[in-house]
Amino acid sequence: MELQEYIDHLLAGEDDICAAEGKDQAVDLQGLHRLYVDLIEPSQYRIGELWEGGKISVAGEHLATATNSYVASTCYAPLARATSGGPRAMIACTPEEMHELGPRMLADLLECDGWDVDFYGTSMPVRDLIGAIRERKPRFVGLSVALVMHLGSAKRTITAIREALGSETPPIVVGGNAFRGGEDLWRQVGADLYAKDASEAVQMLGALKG
Amino acid sequence: MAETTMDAFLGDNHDAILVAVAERMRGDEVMGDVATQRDLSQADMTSQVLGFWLQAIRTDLELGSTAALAQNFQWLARLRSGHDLPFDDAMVMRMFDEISAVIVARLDSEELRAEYDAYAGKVRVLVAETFPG
Repeated sequence: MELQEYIDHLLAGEDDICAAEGKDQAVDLQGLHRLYVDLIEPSQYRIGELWEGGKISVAGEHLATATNSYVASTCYAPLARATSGGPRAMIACTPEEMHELGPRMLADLLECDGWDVDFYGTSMPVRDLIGAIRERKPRFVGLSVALVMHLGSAKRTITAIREALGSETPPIVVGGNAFRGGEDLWRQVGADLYAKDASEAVQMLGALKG
Repeated sequence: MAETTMDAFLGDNHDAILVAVAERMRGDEVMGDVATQRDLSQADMTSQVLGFWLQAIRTDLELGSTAALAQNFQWLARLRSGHDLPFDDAMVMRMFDEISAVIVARLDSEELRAEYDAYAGKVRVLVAETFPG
C-alpha cells in the first residue's frame, strides 16, 4: 500500500484496514522495521503537515495518531520476545514533550531485538528519571524530542543526569524530529549518540548490549 | 555565588515575564482577533502564544542558536496560511519587541544585555525574512 493510500485510511478511521496492512508488512522483524520507518513515521509527519495546513482538524490528527499507535502495537506484539533478564534500556520523552509514538516504536523494536525496555512515555520529570536510572541501571538512556523548542529542556535534562550520576551516567542517546533541524543539535544538548530513526537506533545500540 | 546565565534568568523569571508581556499586549486588537477566531479569551490566547515563544527563546539562548524560534516562525507562517489566522506580519515583530522590552528591563548585567541584544538582532533578521510585511 502506498503512503497516501495508507494516510487516507488513517484519516477515515479505518483502523482495521490499517492494521491489516501493517500485519501484511510485519511478517518478520525486518518487515516491522519497514512498517515503522517507511509507513508509520512518514504518515505521522504528513498528518502533522495536513493539520498545520488546515486540511484536517485536531480530531483528525488525533484519530490518525491513535490509529497508528494501534497498528504499531498490533503488529509488534506477535514479534515481541520475552526479555526479562536481557540488557536493560530506558526510553523517555524529555519534560514537556508530549509526542510519544516515535519513542514507543523505538521501545518496540528494541524489545524485539532482545532488550528489556523501560518505557516512560511523555514528559518524564528529571528528578524521577534520575531516580529510575539509579535504581534500574540501564545500559543506555534514550531521550526523544519532537519540537525544537524543547531542546533546551533536553539539554537541562542531560546536564542534570550527568551532574547527579557522574561517572555512573550511562550513554545517552537522543532522537526525534527536533534534531532534524541541524546536524549538530544532538551534540549541543550534550548527548553521546544520535540516531535519525528507530531502525538506525536499534542497529547502533546493538554495540551496547554486551 | 554562581554567575547567572541568560537561560537560567529566563527559567527563573518565566512566569513574571509572561505576565508582564501579556499585560503590555492586553489591548492588542490583532491578538484579540486571533483569540476570537480560535474561540479563546484574549488572555488565554496571549499566554498560550507567549509560552511557546519563551520556551523557544530559552532554548535558543541555551544552545547559542536561533533554531527554535526559527522553527516557531515557520510553523506560525504555515498555521496562518492553513487556518486563516487573522494576524499581519507586523504583529510578529511587535510581539518580539514587547517580549524583548520586558526581558531587557529585567536584566541587571551589561553582559547579559549584550548577549540578549546580539540574539535579538539575529531574531529580527529572521522575522523580517519570514514576515516581511
